Amino acid sequence: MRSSLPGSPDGVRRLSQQLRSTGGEFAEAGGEARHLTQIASSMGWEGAAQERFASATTRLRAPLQVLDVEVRQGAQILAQFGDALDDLQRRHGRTLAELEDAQSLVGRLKRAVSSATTAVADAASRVARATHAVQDELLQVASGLPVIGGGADTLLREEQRFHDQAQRTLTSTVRQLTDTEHSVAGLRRRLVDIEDEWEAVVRHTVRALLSLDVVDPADAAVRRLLGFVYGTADPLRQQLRGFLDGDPSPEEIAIWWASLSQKERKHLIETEADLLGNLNGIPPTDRYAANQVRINAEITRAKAEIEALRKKVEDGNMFDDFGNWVGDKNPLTESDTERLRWLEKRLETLEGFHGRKIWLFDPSGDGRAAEVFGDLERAQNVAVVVPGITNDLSNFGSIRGNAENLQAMMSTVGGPSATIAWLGYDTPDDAVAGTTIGPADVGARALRDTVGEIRRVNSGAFTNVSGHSYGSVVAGHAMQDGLDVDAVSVVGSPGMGANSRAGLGSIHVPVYAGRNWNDVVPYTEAHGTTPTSLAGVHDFPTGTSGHSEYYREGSASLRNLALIATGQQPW
Amino acid sequence: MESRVAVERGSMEQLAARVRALRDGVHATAIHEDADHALGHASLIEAMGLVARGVRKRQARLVADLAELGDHAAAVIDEFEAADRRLAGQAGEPR
Repeated sequence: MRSSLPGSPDGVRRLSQQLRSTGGEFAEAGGEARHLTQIASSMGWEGAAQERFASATTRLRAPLQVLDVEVRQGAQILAQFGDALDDLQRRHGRTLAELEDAQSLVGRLKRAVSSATTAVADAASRVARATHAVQDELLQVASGLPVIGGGADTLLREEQRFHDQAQRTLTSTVRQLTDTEHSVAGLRRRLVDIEDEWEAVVRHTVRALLSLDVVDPADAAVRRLLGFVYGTADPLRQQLRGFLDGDPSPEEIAIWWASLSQKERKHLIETEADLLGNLNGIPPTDRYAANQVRINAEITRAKAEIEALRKKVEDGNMFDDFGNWVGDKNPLTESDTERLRWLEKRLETLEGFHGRKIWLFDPSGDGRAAEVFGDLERAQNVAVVVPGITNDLSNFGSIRGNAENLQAMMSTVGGPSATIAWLGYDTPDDAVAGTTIGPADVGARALRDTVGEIRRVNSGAFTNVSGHSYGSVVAGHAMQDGLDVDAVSVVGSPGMGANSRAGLGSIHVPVYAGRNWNDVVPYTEAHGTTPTSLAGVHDFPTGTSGHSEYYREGSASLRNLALIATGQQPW
Repeated sequence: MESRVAVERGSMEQLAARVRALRDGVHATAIHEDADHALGHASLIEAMGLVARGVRKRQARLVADLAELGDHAAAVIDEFEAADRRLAGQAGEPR
């Protein structure tokens, strides 16, 4: 954490102004050069010397114009940096002042907690004394002795009241201290974020300055500075990062990628897997390779964390001289235990990804992944299986199972096929969250993106989206914004976000829906009319039971889903 | 004819003077690098230094081009002077 962000916004603005006026001088010189050309051509003299003069004045104009434009661009870059620096310094200063206030409040509250603790202890001992006095009085009464003094019970009540009050003060001060300590932590994080933002602005500004034509790319300093901008000294990795900075389309990425040698592609897959694994435009096989690199890294990370947590248990165990366990000085907290369980489950999933065609991988949060079965680039039919609520990386196996079953049936009824087990969105964590549309909106964007990339790599394939449960809501929302597929099939749907086929949009896309008689989810209609009841949607028999059997091997439902996914009519 | 050559030579001399003025003007244009404190980051200062160096290089090239242009202007003036002398030699001859 820094005490301030370096630099002077006013100084930067002055520098920018100076550059702008330099650009102005070049512009004036350019005007003068143009004027010289005009005069020279209008004077009417002839001869070799005149020709040389006229051509030299013409040649002057272009470099002057370039200098004018370049220097003004430099001025603009600096002006933007000055404004950003101004904003960052203000925010940094304000946050720092808030942090100082909060830290001094923490100090005061710690002192207040200490005196409140003393007050509670004093009050407790006074309560104890008053309790004794009451007991003494009771003994005197019981022994038939005359009570000396009296009123001990009144005093006890009074002391008890003081004690309760002191206890309340202590509790509220401790709470205030905890809150303030939390806000100190929050302010520290905010400061670090602002400093990261400043670093990013500096990188952006350096990159913009280096892109000016006046900078000689052969200068050794350029390579060093590009290393700073892109966080690597490797020219090929810099090239990739610089290329992606320009926000290229998948088509442009595909062309650029194809222009590299096999050795270069391999090098980038090994060193920049995080950038390439989920990047549309990269051929599927190279995406699979990049994601294997990422999965291995994630496995290493998970194993290290698991080992650290287990070591914590081992280091905490205490044994006597005879080897008997006598206690635990360093027990795992509840959250440690939860984390350990979660990590072990996550590790199992990750290890299950070994050697598979992982087309999408994102380990953050609950995790996202998409696995391909079959040859995505050559298949005649491609299906994307979209799962519903409470799915995440830890139970990816069940999503995979559904997709594998569909893949096998599609290959049987429709020839060469590919299926994607697509956990491409953060599914709702429970049934209540499953009534909201936020995850469906995010999922719909990701689904359209996936389908777009499938079309790019295999434009001739019959493409189908198959949504189960909340996955049908995702499909419905994607359709409303235009989903480029040949068919949509849904099962166990609580509605697709519309009460009519027209409301679903993508009107040229045939929609098929199936539901089991004893599946309760379609009855909820949490997302509009269940599609089997929508005119214009073709319903098909399922012949299975409950909410989770639609992709069961040997079922009518699976066969119908496969027929739809291969461009045929269901039974 | 004699007076036309004189007029054109006069104009050319004016042009040559403008070229010299332009060369001096371009030469005087410079980016000051005294910006370390303002920029506040070593990489940014270095990048700005590269920009300044690039601009100075191009300026130097421009100044050289303008000097060459001045030479061309002088050559044109020489041609006018030669024409002047030729015309003076032919004075009085029927044309």
